[in-house]
Amino acid sequence: MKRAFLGELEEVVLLTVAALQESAYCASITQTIDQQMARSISFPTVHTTLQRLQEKGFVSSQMGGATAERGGRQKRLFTVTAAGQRALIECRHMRSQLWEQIPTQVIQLWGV
Amino acid sequence: MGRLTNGEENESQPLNRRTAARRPPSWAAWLLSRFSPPGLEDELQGDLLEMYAYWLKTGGVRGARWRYALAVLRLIRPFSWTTTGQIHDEYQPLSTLHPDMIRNYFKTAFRNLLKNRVYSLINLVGLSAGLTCFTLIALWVYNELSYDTFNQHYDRIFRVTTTKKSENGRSTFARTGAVVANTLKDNYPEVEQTVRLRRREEVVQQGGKQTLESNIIFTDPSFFDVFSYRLIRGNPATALNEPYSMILTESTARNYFGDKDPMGQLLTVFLYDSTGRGANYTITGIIPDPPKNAHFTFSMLGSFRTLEVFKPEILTTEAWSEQGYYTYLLLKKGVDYQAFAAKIAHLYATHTGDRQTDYLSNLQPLADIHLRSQLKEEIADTGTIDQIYIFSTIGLFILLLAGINYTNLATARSVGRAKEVGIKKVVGAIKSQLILSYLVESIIIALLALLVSGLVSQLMLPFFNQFTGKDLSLVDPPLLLLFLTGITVLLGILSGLYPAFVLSAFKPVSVLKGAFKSSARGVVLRQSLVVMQFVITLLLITGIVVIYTQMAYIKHKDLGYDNEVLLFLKVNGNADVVQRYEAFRADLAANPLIGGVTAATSSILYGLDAVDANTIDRKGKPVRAMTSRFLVDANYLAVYGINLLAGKNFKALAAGETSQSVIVNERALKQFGWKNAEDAIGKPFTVYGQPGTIIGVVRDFHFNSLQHAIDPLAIYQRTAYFSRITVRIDQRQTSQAVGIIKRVWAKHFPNALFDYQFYDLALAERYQAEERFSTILSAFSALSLLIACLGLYGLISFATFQKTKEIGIRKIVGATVGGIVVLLLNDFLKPVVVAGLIATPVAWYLMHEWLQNFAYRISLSWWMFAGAGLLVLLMALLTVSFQSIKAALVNPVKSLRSE
Repeated sequence: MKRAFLGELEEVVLLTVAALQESAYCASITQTIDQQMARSISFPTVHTTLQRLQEKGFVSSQMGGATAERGGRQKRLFTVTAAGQRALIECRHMRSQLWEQIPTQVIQLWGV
Repeated sequence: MGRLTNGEENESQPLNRRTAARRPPSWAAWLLSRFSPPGLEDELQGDLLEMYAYWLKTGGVRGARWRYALAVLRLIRPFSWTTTGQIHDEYQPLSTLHPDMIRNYFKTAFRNLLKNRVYSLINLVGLSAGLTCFTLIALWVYNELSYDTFNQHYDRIFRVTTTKKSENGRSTFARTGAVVANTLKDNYPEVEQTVRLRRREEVVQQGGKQTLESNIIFTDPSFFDVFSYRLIRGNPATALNEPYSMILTESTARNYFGDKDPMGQLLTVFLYDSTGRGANYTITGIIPDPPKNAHFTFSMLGSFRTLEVFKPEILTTEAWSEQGYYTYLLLKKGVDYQAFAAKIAHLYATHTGDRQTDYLSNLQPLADIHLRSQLKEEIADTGTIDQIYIFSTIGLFILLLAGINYTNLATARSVGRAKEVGIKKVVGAIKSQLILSYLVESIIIALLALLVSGLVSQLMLPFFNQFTGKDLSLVDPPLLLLFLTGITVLLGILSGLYPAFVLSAFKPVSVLKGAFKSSARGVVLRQSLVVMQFVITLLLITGIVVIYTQMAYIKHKDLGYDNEVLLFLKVNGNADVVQRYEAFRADLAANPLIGGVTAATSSILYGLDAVDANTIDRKGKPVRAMTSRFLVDANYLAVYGINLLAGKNFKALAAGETSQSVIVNERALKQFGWKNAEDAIGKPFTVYGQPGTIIGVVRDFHFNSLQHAIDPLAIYQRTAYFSRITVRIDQRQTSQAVGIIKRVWAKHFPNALFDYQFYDLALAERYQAEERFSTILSAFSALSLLIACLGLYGLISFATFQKTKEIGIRKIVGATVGGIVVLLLNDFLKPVVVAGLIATPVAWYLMHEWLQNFAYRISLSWWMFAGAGLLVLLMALLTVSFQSIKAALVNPVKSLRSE
């Protein structure tokens, strides 16, 4: 079976789910990405991405936490699964590997 | 799911409702609540509420509303293509209306139709035949119902009718006196406008050529106020003001004047002229050809003023009883016509001062004239509402036949498709999906059939138009196409519904195990549907047998006179002909090919006007009764071969001589209470105060179509005027005889049109409506038989396929081919026999009713029903025997080796 591929958007969403922990649901994720990454992202896009992540088995979900501000309706709360964790770690690992391959002088030149 | 209702939601957020802007657009919220992907309704609505609050903070009201709406549109079905099913741990099937599923329905439907070509073809042919019939009938019915409705005020236009009381009962006429119109307009404020019509058929002369115009209408200038006709040329307000003015229709104008401007030209019409040589009418206007869906049409409109000038007596008090004019009223808005009709019922009595008058007036709505009025002296032939009902019923029946075919075939085939259903169910199809997919199949085939029938109808329309004398078009009422499509989809759904339920109800375990073999399911229904088809077919065919027998009876019935070979010549009011007739007659009668020449005031085919006649009975008591009357010359009885029972014929009259002799018929004997023919001779006979004496009694003969019984008749001797000449000619040399008559006519009457007609053609014209009816009915019966047989063919093919193994085993254990054929036929001929049992009494009743239209009719006998039944049985036998014999001949080795 081919290795599940994590797209860039999927990665961002998955990371946000991990960051928000217990309060990760579609609306909060959208708002977090919108605010923190200064990136205009539409709600339906996030919704679709979350569904795709769930199909791939990177997140699992359960219902809960109805509040008054959402008209008493339940949220679908997402948690990162073990597979999701592995994918994120692998992603990060691959990136740092590539980072490390950039010559030190260049890095210094960029002023990082 | 913890979902709260809207009411509670509002209570829980009292602060957020300060302004409408605080809430998302309600239409979008509604869409989301209705069309969320299943299972996600709650979370999406909640999330979006939160998002909306967030967008309000960051982007303002407009931005928030915009983004909310956009998000909703992307999330709702069918735009969200997310595979929601996999979110849930347990399996959930696709929604029945999911786009993927709908694509799948169409795909499998087309595959199935292509896979079973014979079956699809049978269905397609049956359905398109049914739909073609239905389309043509719908067009015809629509046209019939649309009569006169093109008039803008058609709901306020009424025709004044006259009812005449007499001892024989009441008869209602479509015509009134010429004074009625003005009387009504002057004395009753309810009347907004009135118009009079007088229809004439006369000869028109132009450039030395004579033509018979059969549709000249004389009318008032108010014609254009009451009816919605417009002029192309000329002023409608003045065109009909002057006497001897004439408006032509476009095509009439083209006939007479070609490309010349007809306005102001003169046209010679042999009408209302004192010379008998034609009067000149001035063309004062041009009108577009009138619509055919009106109860009267015309080729020329003359001014009514012409009549008033030529015959001023029509406006006097005496003219109240001269009913020659059609009177129409335009009532003011809001006038209740029934109340008004009651008010004018005694119009004649009120305005003539004659308290004893026999005349009553009534009103008839314009829209009722074409279909619901069968009055005497209608302006033109009308339709009947019964025909509309009959043909609508037939149209629906034929559609039903075609629909039943589909249902039957699809149900019969369901066994063959059991495995398909089993597999589909095993891989997760749910019942509603299966039902829908089979419905899509039936709707597709119905729509394909509509397409085919559209093409066929378009091809058949010219013939149909010629036949019905209408100009119908498929696109004329644009809504009709929509209606037909609707009917077709409905037909698809209705005929596909039962098979869809049968198919989708199969249990996957049993069908896949192979236990499901027999098609016992639905057999009763299928058989009863077949029975129904054959009942309908039998009804139609019995109808045809009876109608044809009746028509043949009419054609060959002894009419009381000799009709071999008579030729009618019309005088068309030409004064020359009337004046110089004797010389013409003498010249013609001398020829050996001519058997006799006579002239009379009326045709023998179209019925005669009835008048009140006074005489005395056997005991000398005065009696009075309505009696038909016409005037003939001394040769009449000889030319027509009418036998005298008693008394003698008229004596030939010298010029200027008059006669008071009357000859009556047998029916009159009974009416006036004379025991035998001799009794009648010498009795006084008075009509309109004119005395007369009965000199002879003739055998009854028919002087109207056979729908009518023979009425009492009084034959008078004519002195001057006549309208028709009858010539008896040698039946072996008809064309020479016609040539001779034409030559003699031209010699004596160089200025008169030679307008002749053979008796049999005139008679055929008389029964045209019945002929038409029987032709249409035979076409429909043939078609219904075809459809029913197609269905039977389909059923037997599947049945023999089903029984392949049974037949194989039977043959092995010793059955003969003959025995197997009988076994197979048995199943299929039983429904036909049952249908015969049901159809016969119904057909008997219906045909009995139809025959009541004829005063002279055949009696229904067993062979008509037996014949129709035998024909249908034979057709059914032919249809099924081919397949049965084929199945019975198959070598059992072939049919059994696969197991």
